[in-house]
Amino acid sequence: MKQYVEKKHWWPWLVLILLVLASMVVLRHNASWYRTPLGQVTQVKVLQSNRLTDQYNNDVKETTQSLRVKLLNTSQAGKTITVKNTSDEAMAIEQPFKVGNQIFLNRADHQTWTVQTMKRDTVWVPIMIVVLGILIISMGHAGRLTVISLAVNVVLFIGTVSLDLHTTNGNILGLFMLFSVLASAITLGLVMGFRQRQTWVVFATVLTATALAMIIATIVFKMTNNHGLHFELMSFITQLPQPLFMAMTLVGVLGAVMDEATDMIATLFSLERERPNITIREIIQSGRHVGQEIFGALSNTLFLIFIAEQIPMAVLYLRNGNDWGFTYMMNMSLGLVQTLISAIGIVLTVPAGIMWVLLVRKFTRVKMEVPR
Amino acid sequence: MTVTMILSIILLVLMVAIGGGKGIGAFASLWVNFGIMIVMIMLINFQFNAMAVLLVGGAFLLTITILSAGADEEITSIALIASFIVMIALILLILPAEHLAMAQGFAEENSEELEGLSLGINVNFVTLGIVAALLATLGAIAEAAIAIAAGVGELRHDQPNMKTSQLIGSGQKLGQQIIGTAVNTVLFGFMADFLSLAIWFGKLHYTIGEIMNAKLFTSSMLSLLYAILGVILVLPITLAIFVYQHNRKSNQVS
Repeated sequence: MKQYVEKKHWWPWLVLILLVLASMVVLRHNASWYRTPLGQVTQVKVLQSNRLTDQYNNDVKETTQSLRVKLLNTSQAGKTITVKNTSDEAMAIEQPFKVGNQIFLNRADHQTWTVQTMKRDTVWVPIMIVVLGILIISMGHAGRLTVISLAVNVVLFIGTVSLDLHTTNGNILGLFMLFSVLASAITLGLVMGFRQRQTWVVFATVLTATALAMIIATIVFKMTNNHGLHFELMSFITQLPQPLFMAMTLVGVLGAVMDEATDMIATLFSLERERPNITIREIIQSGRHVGQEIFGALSNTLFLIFIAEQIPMAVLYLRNGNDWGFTYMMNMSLGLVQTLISAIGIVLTVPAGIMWVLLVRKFTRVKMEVPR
Repeated sequence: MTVTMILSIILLVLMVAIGGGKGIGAFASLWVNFGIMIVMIMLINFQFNAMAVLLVGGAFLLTITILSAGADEEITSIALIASFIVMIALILLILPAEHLAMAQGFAEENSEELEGLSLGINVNFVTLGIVAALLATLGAIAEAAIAIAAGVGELRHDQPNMKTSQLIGSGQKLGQQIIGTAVNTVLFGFMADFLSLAIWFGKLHYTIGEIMNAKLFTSSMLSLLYAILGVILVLPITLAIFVYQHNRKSNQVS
């Protein structure tokens, strides 16, 4: 019984709390780390407020504040300046500030300063430390491996993005294919062990299912001449949109397919270990059984990640008098296509996994039988 | 036919061929969830209380997603209770965090998309940000809840006379594997969403300090962290429900 329950210590939690508090203090006092002028609001005065209406029956209060801001960095640190800040109740882009807020500033000319953005790392960095800390403390060895794989994947992602930036006319889809191979090999190897046969069966399954889903999508796009797709509607476009869309879809489908392939093949391998004489038919059956249970939930996981983010923009469109058809097309149609491609990959993981398990089985059986 | 229609038909055929009846359920759950999402947006647009819409709609989304797995009644109800509890716990974190971070709505990076739109609408974007952040976590929570509940349920089924401490120990081991892969699913989902913005930041030579404080980066990062935390919280809560049931049953026997 002892072997199951890891010893519980209280001191890691104390260390975590201290780390979080320390990060909060540091991030409130690290103005010198930034090149952009940073200031702290010391006084807020409301200059004027008026109602703002439009032809769609929206009616909000708009307020102009006069902020006294003490500069915290650059050569003018310590100096207090006055900044005007206008915002409305909806707070779509601008927001009102309170005493104590730290804000980044732009200098328009010698006299005038404007607000660039709020200092936000003070909020998310401590939360990140809490989440990773809980992962490491509550899950022991498995938690540490998970954190390492998260870090490796983020570094690989950043590396691939910067490779794309440094190559002129870089082939972003090709780069992210390379990313997929590396990221899945490393993630699976870390979680299951690089020398395990199971790891490489999962790896082969992931690549097969992902590639099939992407190929099916490409064929459908070609066949219909992208009918009903509007890649030009994607946000933050700086290059040819279609390859970027495919690269984004590839990254999304990869995580879900790894998740499912790991679960399914672990089950099949343990079945084979327990009953070495298991028939091909039984393997197919239990593979499908495991797959069926997960693929609905996994498809919904990606669906909610892809679509939920579009809610603010969709509401904005509707409140601007647009109809549902237009709102859907502008904000949700691409996310839905991405979900469908991912779901196809998730479903195809089941036959791909069964195929690889059977192939490996056949190969090893033959090898074992030859010496006899 | 549009791409969406053809891809849906391919998905339906594959899900039925591989999943049979459950495959149809999985396919339907996607569209039911899409419908729930549309109704939620509509209600918020009509200025119903967004937090109430979020709570009720979120509960529906969790229920449909968990039902899509087609597990037996007992496992389904445990997964539902656990995921509801996690959802409430996350709301308690998201509310203050979003009000502190003020990463709602849009930023100057969106200006092209926002051209011609009137931004002063009667719905508050901080609230909309909370709705979006919580909904993005629900799929991952439901998936982890059903996987962990099904796994622990099987353990209990195999050895009904297990001691409570044994159930916790093996449940934890099994749950840790599920969480490890689920966390990566969430990470890749968010990286996919973030890719175009990441390239934008790079092309326009944002400094690290600018990226770390940018509104759009902060809101993606916070959503990702909420989702990971939600997945982690599922394990202790699901185990607690099992232990509660287990103890009640053994008390009844003695």
